[in-house]
Amino acid sequence: MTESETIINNSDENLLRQYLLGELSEAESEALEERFIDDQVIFEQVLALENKLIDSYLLNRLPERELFEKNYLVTPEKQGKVETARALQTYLAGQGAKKSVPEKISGWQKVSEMFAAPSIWQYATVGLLILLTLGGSFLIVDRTRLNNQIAALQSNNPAVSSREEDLNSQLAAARQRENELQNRLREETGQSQSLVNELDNERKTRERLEDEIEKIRRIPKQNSSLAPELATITLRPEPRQGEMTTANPKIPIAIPRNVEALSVKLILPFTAKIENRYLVEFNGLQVASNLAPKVDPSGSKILRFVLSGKNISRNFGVEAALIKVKDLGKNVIADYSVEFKPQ
Amino acid sequence: MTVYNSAMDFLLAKLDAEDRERAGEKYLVLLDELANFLRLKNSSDSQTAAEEALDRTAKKIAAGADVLHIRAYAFRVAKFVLLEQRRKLQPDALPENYENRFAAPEIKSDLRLECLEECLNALGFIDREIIVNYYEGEGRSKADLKIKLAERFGLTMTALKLRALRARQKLEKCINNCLAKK
Repeated sequence: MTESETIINNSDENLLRQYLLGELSEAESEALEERFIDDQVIFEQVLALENKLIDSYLLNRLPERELFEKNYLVTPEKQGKVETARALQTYLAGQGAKKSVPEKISGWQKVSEMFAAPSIWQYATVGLLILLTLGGSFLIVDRTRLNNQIAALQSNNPAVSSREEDLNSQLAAARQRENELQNRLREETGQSQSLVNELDNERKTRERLEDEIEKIRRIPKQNSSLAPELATITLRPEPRQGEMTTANPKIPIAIPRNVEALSVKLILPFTAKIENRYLVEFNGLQVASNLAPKVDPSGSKILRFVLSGKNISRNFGVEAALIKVKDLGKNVIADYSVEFKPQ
Repeated sequence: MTVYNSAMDFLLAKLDAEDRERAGEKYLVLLDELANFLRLKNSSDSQTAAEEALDRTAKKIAAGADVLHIRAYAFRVAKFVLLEQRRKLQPDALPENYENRFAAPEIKSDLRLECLEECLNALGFIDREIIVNYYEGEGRSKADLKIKLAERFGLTMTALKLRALRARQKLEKCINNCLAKK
């Protein structure tokens, strides 16, 4: 407690009360004002007492009710302040009946408890929550931007329509993952590190999408007579041990040299679970993560992703490529062997 | 306009010579204090008068006045501004049926409640929790709530009181802005 705070005692409070209710002479008021002009703490006591008087007045518990109306309630600003206090009381009374405010924010209740007895872990968790919240906000903003870019591209080049479909499907998956992360964020603060990792993966996926869209944007609008810059391939998995499949491994795929992006549709084995998320490796290099399987019109479970120009150029010279699909526990669930034949 | 900006620079430098951002924050705190003081003194437009007081304080400092305690100086300037305001304007009178006006629910009350909810949601978590819990309840239950609230946020009762006051000021300011827009 500071020295200023000790100045406020009962007689001071009575004096401040008289000041607010207009019971002091002009000289007494001036003298008191000089005190709180020099001392911010006393002035804050005056303002706190003002609120207390207003609240008591509204609850019909202010003995000096008439004085209050006669000397305090004399300007529209003060009337407005009283009306605001009334609104607050009305609101709190409603909350008191429902007790819904703490429930409404129960997800955040844990944060408040951290402030009650802070520890290093608790501060760290608060930091992570802030990070996750910022990350989530960024995802939403970025998703909107990607949608806008796709919309702008739609009217420009028919060659990119299948590409848009891929991007749209990936953005839809990103949107779903965001929701899941938000839900988990509320429920599993204890697992915040893994959420941070997932958000990081999301960010990488988004960056890849951004690269892709940037590439497409650079495609001239009137070049439909040129060879396509985008190719789509569909791959079936190689048979795994003990699994019957109609896989067709090592199909040679001819891709024009000027293809800058490759849209890949992987047909997953029937054992793949639709609710799981998967990552894709291309010759040991992770090229997609957190992919959500979809069901195509034929009923097959599929994964769609895009190999960017960078990946294509990096891998184009490779005659045989091995694509692996793994679950998030890094278990391989499907292999795909491809032979790329540049045209 | 240039003179005004220059004067404001002098004031900000006086409030905090090393950190311009912190100086800006101190300026806003002082502005709020002056507006509250002027409201208590029955100003008809405390915000404008507070701004005028700080504007004059800034100009005085820029003109070379030796101001040791800006806060006290600005409060005294504010008193002069208030006197001038009173000379220009007749004090606003209360409506005759003021209490009845409170009793009768009006659309304006609904608007205020609407703004209150908006502004409560816009407040930070701790401010909102403090407002909702500090001003809730009556008598002994209210005192108990305050003690629990102080314990919960690791504050002394004095610090809690101050925090509640500032949160309520923030809320009122937000509500006034909200009402002005509607």
